[in-house]
Amino acid sequence: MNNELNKQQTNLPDLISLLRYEDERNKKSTNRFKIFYFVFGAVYAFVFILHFLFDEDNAWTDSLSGIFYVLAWITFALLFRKANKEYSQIDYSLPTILMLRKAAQRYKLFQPKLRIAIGAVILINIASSLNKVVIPMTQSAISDIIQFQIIFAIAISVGFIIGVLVWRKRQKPIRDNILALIDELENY
Amino acid sequence: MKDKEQQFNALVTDHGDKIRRICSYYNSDPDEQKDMYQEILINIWNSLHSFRGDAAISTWIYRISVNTSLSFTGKSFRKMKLIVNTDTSNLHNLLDEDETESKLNLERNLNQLQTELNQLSVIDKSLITLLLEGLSMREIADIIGITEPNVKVKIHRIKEQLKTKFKPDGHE
Repeated sequence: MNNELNKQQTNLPDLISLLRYEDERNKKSTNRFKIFYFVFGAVYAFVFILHFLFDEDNAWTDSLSGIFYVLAWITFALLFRKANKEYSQIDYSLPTILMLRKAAQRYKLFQPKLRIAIGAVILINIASSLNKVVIPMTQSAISDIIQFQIIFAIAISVGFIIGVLVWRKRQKPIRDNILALIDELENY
Repeated sequence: MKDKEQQFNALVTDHGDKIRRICSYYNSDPDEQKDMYQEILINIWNSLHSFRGDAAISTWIYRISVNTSLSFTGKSFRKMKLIVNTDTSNLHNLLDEDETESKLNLERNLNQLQTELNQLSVIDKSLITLLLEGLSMREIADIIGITEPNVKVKIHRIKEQLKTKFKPDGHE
């Protein structure tokens, strides 16, 4: 954006239109994931209700699985809404130390919302496992579930490790700088 | 949106020089000054909704400028330089001695002063820019969000450091 602004020679009306553009772009990008999960959750819920009402072969495990899936998508949608709200509302007019504390919180690896995300992942795990349940349980259903659990655990672990590596490379150095500044400000 | 535009225009008209001055403390290159100035304007635009008049408008502007300078210079943390020149009106604030003598002394040793100031930490540099703007300890404390005694201690320490370096019989 700076390059674009430079071309404008700090002409105020032009700058304002660029700011508007920037506002608009931020608004769109911060809402993208939120909308995706809300729409996906709603469509999934609709299909689930149709199945529940009209599919006579629908087992209670399928119904429970559907409810868990819907809850997981809604949880993700709410998490993205919260995260994007935080991201788009960075307030530079706060006293410096408050701004730095908030930034340190944003760049923290283990945030409270991670626990909620883990909860949503567990819901998806349970929902997917319930889909494989047959009553009475057979040996093949049990091995299907075990196989799924192993693949799921590997996928989540790989995702988590990649996430941590990305955080260490991109966000940890910023957070370390911020913490050093806070420490310097607070100590006499 | 129209109101926001009007408010923004008024702020830039009234406080544009102040913002430019802050930018000039951190960058000697006019292009970099312009980048920082624009970054500050963007943050003012984005923070307009949060201005409720609880703080003086100048305090609010200084907060955004200092916070932006921290994030802006954070991109090249080690490269951050503090630039002062003989036009800097509150240069004498850096030392508590006789105003004329102190200013003359500092002006004679401007290059050395520049070097000394650039040894300071990024926070100390921010405090110095606010001091050079002629703000009181109370105002600086409001902007940074720390206690007034803490500001006083930090500024006193910086001044002591400079005083030692600039003593006529000192080794510098």
